[in-house]
This record gives sequence, C-alpha cells and structure tokens, in this order.
Amino acid sequence: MAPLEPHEKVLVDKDFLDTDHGEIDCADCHGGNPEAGEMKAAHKGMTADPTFPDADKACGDCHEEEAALAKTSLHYTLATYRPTVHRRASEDRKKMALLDKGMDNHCFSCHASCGQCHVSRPDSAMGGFIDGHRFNAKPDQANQCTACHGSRVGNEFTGATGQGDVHYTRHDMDCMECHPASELHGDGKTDHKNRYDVEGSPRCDDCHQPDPKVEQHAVHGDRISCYVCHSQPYANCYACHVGLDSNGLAYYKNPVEEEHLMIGLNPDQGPDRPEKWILVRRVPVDPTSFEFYGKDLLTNFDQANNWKYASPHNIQKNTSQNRECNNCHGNKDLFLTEDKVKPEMQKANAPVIVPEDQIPGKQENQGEDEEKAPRKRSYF
Amino acid sequence: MRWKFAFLMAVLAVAVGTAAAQASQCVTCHTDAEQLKAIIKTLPPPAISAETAGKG
Repeated sequence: MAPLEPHEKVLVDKDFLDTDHGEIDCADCHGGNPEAGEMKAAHKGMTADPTFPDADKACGDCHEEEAALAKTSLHYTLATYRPTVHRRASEDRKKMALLDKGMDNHCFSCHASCGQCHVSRPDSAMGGFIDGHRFNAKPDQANQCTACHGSRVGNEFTGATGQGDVHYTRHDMDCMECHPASELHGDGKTDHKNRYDVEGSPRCDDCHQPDPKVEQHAVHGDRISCYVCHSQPYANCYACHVGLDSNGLAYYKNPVEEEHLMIGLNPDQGPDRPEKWILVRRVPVDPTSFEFYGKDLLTNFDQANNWKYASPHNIQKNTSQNRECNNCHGNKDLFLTEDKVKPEMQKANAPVIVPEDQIPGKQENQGEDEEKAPRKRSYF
Repeated sequence: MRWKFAFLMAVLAVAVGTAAAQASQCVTCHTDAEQLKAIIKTLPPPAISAETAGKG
C-alpha cells in the first residue's frame, strides 16, 4: 500500500460534490465552523470521522439498518477483544484497570467505522481519502481491508509471503467475494465468542463440495479441516509488547515471527465445525504483553489457549500436505505436540495440543505396485 | 403588509445565500491541492512512535 501524500489525504475530488453524499453540507456530517475563513477556526469542533463512535448520527438517517447493525458489528466494536484478554487477567481490580487502559491505548485503536471501510483508509493505517471522498459501496482490498488485515491475511492472500491464495492469484477474487456486507456489517447479535461466530461467516463448502472420488476426501471425510490439506505455512507471532514512548505515543513490538504450519485438535467441535483436526496459529499475546502498564496483569494467562483455530488465507490446490499421505502421517513436525509449547502455556493449550500417540501413523504400501494395491491417486 | 413580506423574503434569501457561500469554504479549500499543500507545510508531521517494530 503506497503512502498517501499528506494533502491527498484530505483532497476532495470535485466530482464527489455531484454525488448524493457530496450534495450534503460538509458541516452536517463533520461539524466544525464553515463560516470561518481560516483553518484552525473552521476546524473547531470538527470531527474528521463522523461515523465513529455513533454511526447513527452521520449515517442513520439514510442507512438506518446498516447504522443499527454497526452497534454490534465486530469490526466496529471489537467486542470480543476485552472478554478474551480479561480471561487471562488478574482478578485484582486495580490491575484490571491498568490492563484496560493498555487495551484502550493499543487494541481498541484498531476499530473500523463506516467511513474507514467506505471512504478513507483506516485510522490505524494513518487514514486519508482513497477516492477523493467518494463513498464506495465495496471496500478497497488494498487500501482498506488489508490496510488492517495486512501482516497475516493480506500478505498470505496476495502472495507477499508464500505463493498466495488461488482465489486471488488465479481467480481474481477479492475479500468481498467471500466476506460480503451481510457478514461484515454484523448479524445484530452480542454473544460472539470470536469472529467465526458471526452469522454468514464463509465456509469452503459454500462453494466447494469435496469430490468423493478423490481418495483423500473419501478417506478423511469431515474429520480434517480443508485448511489442513490446502494451506501453506503461515505467520505465527510470539511475543508482542505494547507501551508508550517518551513522547507518549503508542507503540507495539512484535519481535518474534515464524512461518510454519501446525496441525492441532479442534477445541470447539460442534455441528458447524465438526473437524477433529484443524490448523492452529500462535497469536502474539504473552504473559508480559502489557507489562508497560503494570506487573502481573495477566496472572491467569493459562485460562485461554494462545494457539488458536486458524483459517490461513493462502489456499492452494496442491500442497506438500496433500502430495503424499506420509507428508502428514507420522510426521510429528507438522503437529502441535507438547514439546513445541512453552511449559507455562501447556495447560492453556491442552485442548489443541496433539498427544504424540494420537498423531496418525505412517501409511504403508505407499508407492508400491499399483496392481497389487490399486488405489486411485488423487491428482487434482 | 406586502412590503413586510417582501423584506422578510429578501432577508431570508440573503441568509440562505450567505450560508451556502460560507458552507462552501470547506469545499473551496479541500478541493484545492495547492492550497492544501501550502497549509500542510505549516503543520507538524503526524505523531507516530518510532519504537513500533514487527508485524502488527
């Protein structure tokens, strides 16, 4: 994503003024003092992004349904962040308050708003109009979606790391093909545990039905997540720490990142996700992630796993995993075994760690005479 | 009565015209790249911490 020149960030295209949104007086949405002829006075009381934190105020008159949904949309509220981090938190109220302050300074700076999906780059990517203030119904993948979802999903999807995702690299599909407004605007519910709980979250089988004539599909059924066989290695981050620098500006430091693929056990098996075997990704939280704000803020760190259910956006038809059965079977390196998890995190990750005696064994008769062991090889 | 009405309409027209002209002050500046560049030169750069490192 190329940087915007400072003036480009606020340069309104004259054509915008002929659009429905452009015909509204600037001050009606942004406030401020348009009567003033000088910048400082004109900007007094002005809101750069009037769509946050109250989408209703700027957008609700015309977009009643969308503005109402924004109140519970995870992009808007980041509602799952606080309960997730709080599970790891100390029960001491003063420490909880320090943790919340840290989260407000860092985690919650990453919300999206109506404007940050339809008009400008997100604040977390330094903002700025992407199309002269025009309102685009469809967000821009490069300037909006991956401006935030860049370092993992964006890089993996486009091939900045790895070979990219065939949905994008070969079929020109962008984020919105699988993640339409109906999902991103939210479902109006407030009980999501994570992003996968949102109604309308895409599933592979929305479009793809596994071919039963393909041996690996027939043998594995729904015991294995599609991602296990069709993803490439992906980014895992280990030790993010946040703080404020000497100027009071927020920073994060995420020094350790590794690309690999790790198979784990599904901790939330159910009708929607029946697979036993899934991919897991190390998320960057660490017991000392918020240490800048206070000692021992995450004393219940082991109450939640930090190897999480993963859906890497780097799908390929042919991968190392599906080239040969024994690239997975008997290959301990690919499975999240106890020795790969720090001792102090093993309890938390017990639901996803694969006991060594559960790793599927090597398959015999691989590559022998086809007449003796006729099997349809799954050539895609 | 007719004169009063005409006077009121004139005042209203001036008020609306003035408001419209004044509202476009935003537009006058924000559609002028050169003016924006000149203003931005007088502003401090955006505040970003130099300590941020690694993937976000």
